[in-house]
This record gives sequence, C-alpha cells and structure tokens, in this order.
Amino acid sequence: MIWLELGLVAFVLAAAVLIALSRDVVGATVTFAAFSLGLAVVWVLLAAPDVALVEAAVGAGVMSVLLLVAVIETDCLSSGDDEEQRFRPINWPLVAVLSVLAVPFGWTTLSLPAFGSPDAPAVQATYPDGGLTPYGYYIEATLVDAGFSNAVVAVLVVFRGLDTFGELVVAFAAAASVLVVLDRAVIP
Amino acid sequence: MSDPTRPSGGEGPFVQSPVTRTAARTLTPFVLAYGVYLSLFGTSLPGGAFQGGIVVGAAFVLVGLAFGFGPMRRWIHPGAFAACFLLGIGTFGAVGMGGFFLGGAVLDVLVYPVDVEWIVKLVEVAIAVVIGVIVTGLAIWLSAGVGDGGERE
Repeated sequence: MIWLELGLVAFVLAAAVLIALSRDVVGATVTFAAFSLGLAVVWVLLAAPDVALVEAAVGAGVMSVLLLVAVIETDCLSSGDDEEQRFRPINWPLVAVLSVLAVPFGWTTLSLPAFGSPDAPAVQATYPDGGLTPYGYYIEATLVDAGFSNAVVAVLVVFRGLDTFGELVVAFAAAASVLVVLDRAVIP
Repeated sequence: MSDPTRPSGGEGPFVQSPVTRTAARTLTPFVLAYGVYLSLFGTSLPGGAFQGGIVVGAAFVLVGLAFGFGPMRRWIHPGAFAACFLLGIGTFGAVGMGGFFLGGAVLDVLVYPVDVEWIVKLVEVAIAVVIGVIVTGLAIWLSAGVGDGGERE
C-alpha cells in the first residue's frame, strides 16, 4: 500500500514539474488534468472522499476545459513549435525562494500527529481544561441535533449557514464579473 | 453547425468526432444522475451540494465540448441562468428566514417541525443549482471570447 502512495506522490510531483516547465500550453493543460486525477486518488487514500470528488470534478474536468478555452481564445496554440527546446529554462532564484518557503511547511508537516492517531488534538472531544474542542462540539451536535451522519454537510448548512449563503453569492458575483469584463453580460 | 471542420469564430473548442459525441451522449445521463444523487444523499454519504452541483455543471460542459458551445449558447436563454441562480439563492434565503419566523435565529434550520434532514436536503438542492449554474455559465460564455457590446449572438 505504501508503494502505491509513494508512486502516486511521485507521479503528482513529476506532473507538477512538467506543467511548470513545459512550453506547450495544450500539453501542460492535459498534464494538469492528469495531475488533478492523481491528486484525487491521493485524497481518496487519505480518507477524504469529499475533497477527492471536488478535485476530480473541478481540477480534472471543469478547470481543464476552462484552461483550454482560455488557450484557444487567446491564440496561444502555436507558440513553442518553432523553439528548439521543449522546456523553459529553470528560474533558479525562484527555486531558491520556494525551497526556503518549503522548509517551514515541511517541518510543520513532520511535526503533525500521526494520521488517524486517536491521541491527536483534532479528534479529542475535550481540551485538557475540560472545554469542548470543535471536534467534540460539532460531531456530538451533528449526531444528536441534526440526526444525520455527514458532519461536513451539517457544518455547512446547519451550523455555518450564513457562511455558505455568502459563499454562493460571492461565487456568483465572481462569475458575473468575469463575464462583465469580457463584455458578455447579456441581460435580455 | 456553421463550419463542420474546425472550431473558430467564438464557437469555442469542440471536436466533431463521433467518438466524443457518442461518449457524451452515453455518459451525460449517468453524470447528471450522479450529481443529483450526490446532492440528495450528501447528508449521509460522502458528497454534498457543492460536489453534486459541480458534477451537474460538468455534465453540461461535457455536452458543450461534444456538440459545441456556440449552439449551446443559442439554445440556453441567458435569463435562464439568472433565474436559476435567483431560484436557488431564494430557496436558501426563504428557508433561512423561515427559521427566523418560527422563533429561531435567521438560517436556524433546527427549529422546523419536520425532520431536519429534509430541510437540509432542500437547501442542498438549492446550493447545487447555484453551483451548477455558475460552472455551466462560466464555461459556455467564456468560450465565446470577448463580446461585442452586449449584443446577443
């Protein structure tokens, strides 16, 4: 099992590097779809099927189509065919900056509790001083008050409805403003 | 179809391939059903309205890729998108205000006299409609390119 996970992570990393370095934008877009599918399987292995569904549908499906549309509409299709090399030169100063940034992220990741550990603070029902943790509060409230089992949906609709409502309005406003900028705001 | 060989002139990217068309025609009902299923049963299974809405939107994008975004733009009235958005957000808002009038807080769905799962399912369908409208609308109007002063195609 660990080899499957390692292979998937290697595949995702290789795809990410290919996307960053490729000169062929259509190839990079297709590689991006493969990257998202690999990441979706990683989410499934990490027991996060909700995130995997979004990653597969948005990352691999809708996002690739939107990127393809952008590539075709901006006439970037022919760029790179006359070049000798298929990859961009690596921007070493950028790599150095990102490596420095990666150190605290990697250090934080390594200091997290083990995956699925029952002693992790995130899955304790109470803090050491006796107060309810968010986990204890929401899981208990989900099971007792709401009466159904998907805690994510319970939090989104029952406990944090205003956030979800605002999210929808903001998402539609964002889509509408994109169409306004493109002069496609057709109100009949 | 104006030009059957290559996409151009704001028709967006689509391929006149029988393989793509057959695949789209075969898959779309299943993708749509899966999206509805995710929205309705997100209360007890992995999934939910955001996932279901995106899957429904992806089904429309698949149809657009196979049969052309241009015909789709002529087929779907732009007002339908605004209407669907208002329907979804209005349902969500009405449920929220209903909680207020039943004596709870605004958006408090626990005060309804019926099983809260049914209220949540109703809200989920409303959210899925809004998300599907956003995904579909973005794809089919982005593929039209920069507009020409708001004239309808």
